[in-house]
Formats: sequence, C-alpha cells, structure tokens
Amino acid sequence: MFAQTNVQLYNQLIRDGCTAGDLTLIRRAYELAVPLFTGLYRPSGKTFMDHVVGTASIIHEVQGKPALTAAGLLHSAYSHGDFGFAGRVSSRVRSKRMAEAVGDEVETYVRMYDELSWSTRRARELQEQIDDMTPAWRDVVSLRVANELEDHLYGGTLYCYSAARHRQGLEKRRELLAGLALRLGLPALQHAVDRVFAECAGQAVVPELLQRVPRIKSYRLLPGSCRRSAWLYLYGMMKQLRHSAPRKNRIS
Amino acid sequence: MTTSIVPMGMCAQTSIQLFNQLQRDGYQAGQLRMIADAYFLAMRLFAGRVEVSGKSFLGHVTGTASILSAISAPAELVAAGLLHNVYCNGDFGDYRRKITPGRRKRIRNAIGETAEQYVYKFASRRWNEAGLRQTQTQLQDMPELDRHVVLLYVAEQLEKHLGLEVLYRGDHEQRCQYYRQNGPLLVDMAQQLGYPGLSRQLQEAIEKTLGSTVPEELRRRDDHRFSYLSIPESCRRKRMVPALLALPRRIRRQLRKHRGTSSMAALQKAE
Repeated sequence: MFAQTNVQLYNQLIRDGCTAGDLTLIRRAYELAVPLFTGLYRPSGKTFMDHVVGTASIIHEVQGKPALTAAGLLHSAYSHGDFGFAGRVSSRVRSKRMAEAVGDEVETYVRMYDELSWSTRRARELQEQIDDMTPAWRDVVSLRVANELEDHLYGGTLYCYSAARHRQGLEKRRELLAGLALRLGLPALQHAVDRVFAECAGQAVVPELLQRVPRIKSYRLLPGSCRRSAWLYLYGMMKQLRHSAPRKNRIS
Repeated sequence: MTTSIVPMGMCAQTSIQLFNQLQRDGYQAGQLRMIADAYFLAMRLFAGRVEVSGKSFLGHVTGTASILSAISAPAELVAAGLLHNVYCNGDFGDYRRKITPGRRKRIRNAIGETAEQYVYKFASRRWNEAGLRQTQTQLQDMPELDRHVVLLYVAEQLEKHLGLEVLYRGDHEQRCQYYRQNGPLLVDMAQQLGYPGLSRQLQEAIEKTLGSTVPEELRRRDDHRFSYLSIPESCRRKRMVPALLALPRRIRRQLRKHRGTSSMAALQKAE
C-alpha cells in the first residue's frame, strides 16, 4: 500500500530504515511543497499534496534513493508550484530557492523532470532511447512512470469528469507504463503498474461520485480570503490591456 | 449495532479512497450524492488549510468520514464528518471564525438540514476537559442528535491517532498530556454510545501513540498549535488584512489583561 499523506510517508521511511540525513531532506522537501501546491487539486478531486506524496511513496518503494524521493515530492514544482507574483518569478530565482531548501541534486532532478516532455508518442520514443540515457535521466523517467501510476491508484482517474475516456484508454496506458518500467530494469515498478491497472479496470464507480466540472489538468482553488486578490490581479491585467490597446492603434 | 472498524492504516485519507469505501459500505445513490456534495464544498472551504502535523486538512476530515462510514453511521453524519469544524476552520472569505445565518444557510443548502445541525452542534459544544466530563455524565440522557455529535468527536479523535500523527506535531508533548488526561473519557464515551469496537480501537490507538516515538528529524519545527491556512505565494500581500482585522481584538485582550492585573493589585492593596 502506498502512502497518501506525509504521516504515512514518514512511517514508510522509518520502516525502511532511512538515515537521519535522509529524513531531514525529505521533511524539508515536504515543507517546501506545502506552500507551493497549496489549494491545488487533481482533476479527480484529490489534493495535489496527496498526489505528490503518493508519487514519492511509489518511487521510494521501487528505487529507494532519498534524493529521488524528495524530488518526487516536488516533481511538478516548476510547472504547478506557486512561487509568487502570479507565475512571473524567473526560473533562476525558482531554482535558487529550490536548491537552498533541498540541495542541488534534488533541484536537478526536478528541473530535468520539468524538461522531459511527455505524450503517448514521446513515451514510446523514450522506450527506445533508454539504453543511451544517463542514470539521472533514467531516474527521471522512472519518476514520470511513478507519477502516472499514482493517478491511477485506487481507481483515481475513474472519478474525473471524463471517467469514460480514461476507462477506455486504461489498457493502452498500462502497456506503455509497464513497458517503460521493464526497459528501466525496475520489475517492482512493472508489477505495481500491472496490479494497480488491474484493480482500476475491475472497479465500478457510480456517477454520483464523479467530478461535476470538466477539468483536464490540475487546478487551484484559492482560499476564500485570497480570492479577492486574484480578482484584483485579473482586474489589473484587464486595465493593462485596455491601456496598451489604444497605443497600438495609434502606431498603426 | 455494527462494531466493524477501519483497520490501522486503512482509514481513507483521500477522496478516492473514501468514495471507494462508501460504495463498498452500501450507501444509496442519493446518500452518495450528498456526501460528494459535502466533499466538494469542503474542497473550497478548506482549500490551503494544513494540519499541525503538516497533513492537509482535507485528509483529516476525509479520515473522520471514513471512520464514521466504517461504523455504518447515517449518511448525514458521514457528510457532517467532512465538514465537522467548518465554522471554526473553514475559510468563508472574511478571515473570521464565527457562526452566521449566511454560513449556516450555505452549509444547509449543500448537505441538508440534519447534517448541518450536526456541524452546528459540533461547533457549539465545548470539547475541553470540563466539557468532556460534562458530556460523559449527560451522555445517557442526551437526544439522538447530540449523541451523534459526540460520536463524530470520538471518530475525529481516533483519526488523529491513526498512524501516530500526533507525534509529528511540534507540540506533541502537550497533545500527549491532553490524551493522558482525556483519553479514558473518550474511550468511555465510545463505549456508552454503543460502539465497543470503536472504544477498543481508540484505546489501542491512544496507548500506541503514548508509547511510541518518532525521529526528531521528522517533527515540525514551527510553533503552530492549531491547523493553519497556507496562503499561496501570489496572494501573500493579503496577509495584512487578517493582521489588521485581528488588531482590535488584540487591543481589547491587552486592555482586559491590564484591567485584570490592576484590579488584582487594588485587591492586594486593600487586603
């Protein structure tokens, strides 16, 4: 069973005999992830924090590398994390902040994860390129597989608005991920993929429990007290646009 | 009454796990819809709220609902479990912690009259040592609704002990002290409510928490004593607002304290 909360993940790390240094690193990664992913949800309605904890738990189970586990907690920090100023923070500042909190090794993993493009076609290409990859890139690909697997834990994708589409694509996805895990030389990950997808395929979900809003990607629900500032931000943007429009007209 | 309880570590912590469990536990379609509505509202009102242990607050309320579902509680109580302390910790948009007719209406519209009554009574009751002792003595004569509210509290307390969560808090020593004092009360209340399995599991969980340790490296370093709101970085400037809103209350508290000390001094002088 994979962890879904920090408490379960910590208990897993203790059980697996992690050293004090490893525990500190992973706690620091978690503490950095909390403000970055605050109010963020997966399309299935699960909190994003539960998703990153699940990913870290899977990657810890199959790889057992503390830096990679910490990277699992922060894997989509550069694509989904809120570093402030409504996403206008430079990548240099973000990298620096990340490296200060969790060190260069974890930061490198997270940056590489962000650089790895992902689609069905790309996943097939990756299968063929795995032998030529550096160990760090292979770790990042395994993290990507763990991320995909986490979304399917306990039939997670079947609670999305577009559950029917997800159910149709289950077998194709399983083949792809199991193939990648096999090529990476991670039989434990391959077995986990087979088991989780088999559970997912056999699961029935009543329509009353499905998400009611069609969402394809993760989304952020701002705490009620902060919502006004987002409106103010939008208002500011509109004002800027209105301000710039006549000037453009004048030039033309 | 059923006594089947969630095994240690099997308590749902995510919406997905909870929804799977609810289907297994045999709730009807209408009931499932109400519980899902409660979860969707909780997503909004508890967005960004974090437990002292670092766990998301939604995880805590989901766990509470999971325990209630495992003891075959009514669907209204399970839905109330997902919103049980919304009047204290829910963010309705104005940084204030109070029960207003507008807030009650919003909750009522989402989960219905009975479930809202549970949530309201949960917030109105005192859960400190004196309150718990009073509840324990009055439990047998309480109406069904109030007994369900006490059951909700017991389930909530059990959720906090599953997986040794209390030990990962920065203030774990104070919390352990609280459970040393009040643990037997909670266990007895679960027994009186007619849930011996829940009572037994709560006792085991408290004993396990009090008898275990976790590495210092994994404990929270901050001094939070209650769940807190993790504000997104892009909204940080709004932090000024709660600070300003809290200012009059702070001044009043200081004045009261000052008046208290001056009256004490006057009394001492008179003596």
